[in-house]
Amino acid sequence: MIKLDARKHLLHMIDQLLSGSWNVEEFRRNYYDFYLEDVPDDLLSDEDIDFFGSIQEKLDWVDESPDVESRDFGWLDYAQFMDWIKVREKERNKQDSA
Amino acid sequence: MSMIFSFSRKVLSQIGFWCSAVILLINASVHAEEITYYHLDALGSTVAATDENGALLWKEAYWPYGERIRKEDGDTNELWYTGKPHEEAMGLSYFGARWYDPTIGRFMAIDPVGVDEGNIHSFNRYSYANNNPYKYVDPDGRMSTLRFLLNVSKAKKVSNAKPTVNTNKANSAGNAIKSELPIVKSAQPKIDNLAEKFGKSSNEIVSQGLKGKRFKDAGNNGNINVFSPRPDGKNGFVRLTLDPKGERVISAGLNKARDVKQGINKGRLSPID
Repeated sequence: MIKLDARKHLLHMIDQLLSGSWNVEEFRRNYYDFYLEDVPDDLLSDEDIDFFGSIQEKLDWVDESPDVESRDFGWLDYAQFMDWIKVREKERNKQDSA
Repeated sequence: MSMIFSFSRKVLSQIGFWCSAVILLINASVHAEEITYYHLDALGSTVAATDENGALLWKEAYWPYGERIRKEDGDTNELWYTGKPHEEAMGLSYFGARWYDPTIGRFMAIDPVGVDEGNIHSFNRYSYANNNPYKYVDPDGRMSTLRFLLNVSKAKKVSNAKPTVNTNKANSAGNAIKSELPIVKSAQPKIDNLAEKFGKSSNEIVSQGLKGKRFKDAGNNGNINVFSPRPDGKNGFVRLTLDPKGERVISAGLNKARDVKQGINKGRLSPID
């Protein structure tokens, strides 16, 4: 897979989530393993890794309904994750246009 | 003292026990009711074997990088330096990710993990245990680890409502790290997913994971990320995240090796050990 394809596919999956075509669980199932297993290490820029990698790692902190203790340690519910990823996406768009 | 009870053919059980710089490892198998006790040194290398009456069967000693000195007949024993299988015909020991030549103290292939700019030893892609084989060992050919961090006790039974895992680790200062770690509720399914992915039990994922390298995560609340090699041998790490005091497992997942390296390079992750 060439660089653009991997990057494009990751962005497409994020669009699927933000547009409501996928719920968080569907997004996690598709995005998490694709990023880890299928995107070659040397094909994304450092900035891309910051962005796409942070989303993959954040998925390890998302639960449908975290209990109080889990929330205290930083766990997000689905709605909070959607808010978080929207902010990250905006930041990335700003960087891309700068 | 370390011992392995061996009845040669069918392996029945294996139990590890660590006490005051001494390892007890019990491995039982059946063959005509013969029992052999294997004695290990602090690196986990087999240094002697005795029968059930305490009679010495063989002794072994090693040069610093693992070459056998005495080369006494070890019967069917294949586990030698640091407890790794050794192919006598090739003169090489199998460390998992790579083969190792104890005669020259070098691996036969480059480190699959890659260069860690924070560790000068990693620039030599063939070196073993940071060129310090008394202090470090390399459990699987991918990462040198302080030898006394490797010894993990058999899990104890815990009557705690929360899932816990028992470890018996020491940090670099020799201080004991919590022996029972509760797992927060939301983290348990993540651990279970890893267990399913790698065909292991959740307890194995946690106990193996806690043997990894510890990094303070400045980008995430000062939590402690413990990285260990993926059980399937692929590039990347299993990550267990502990709270900043290291008192409980609060998340778990996988990371690409490059992501971890970038986190170190950018100062988000700083090694604790």
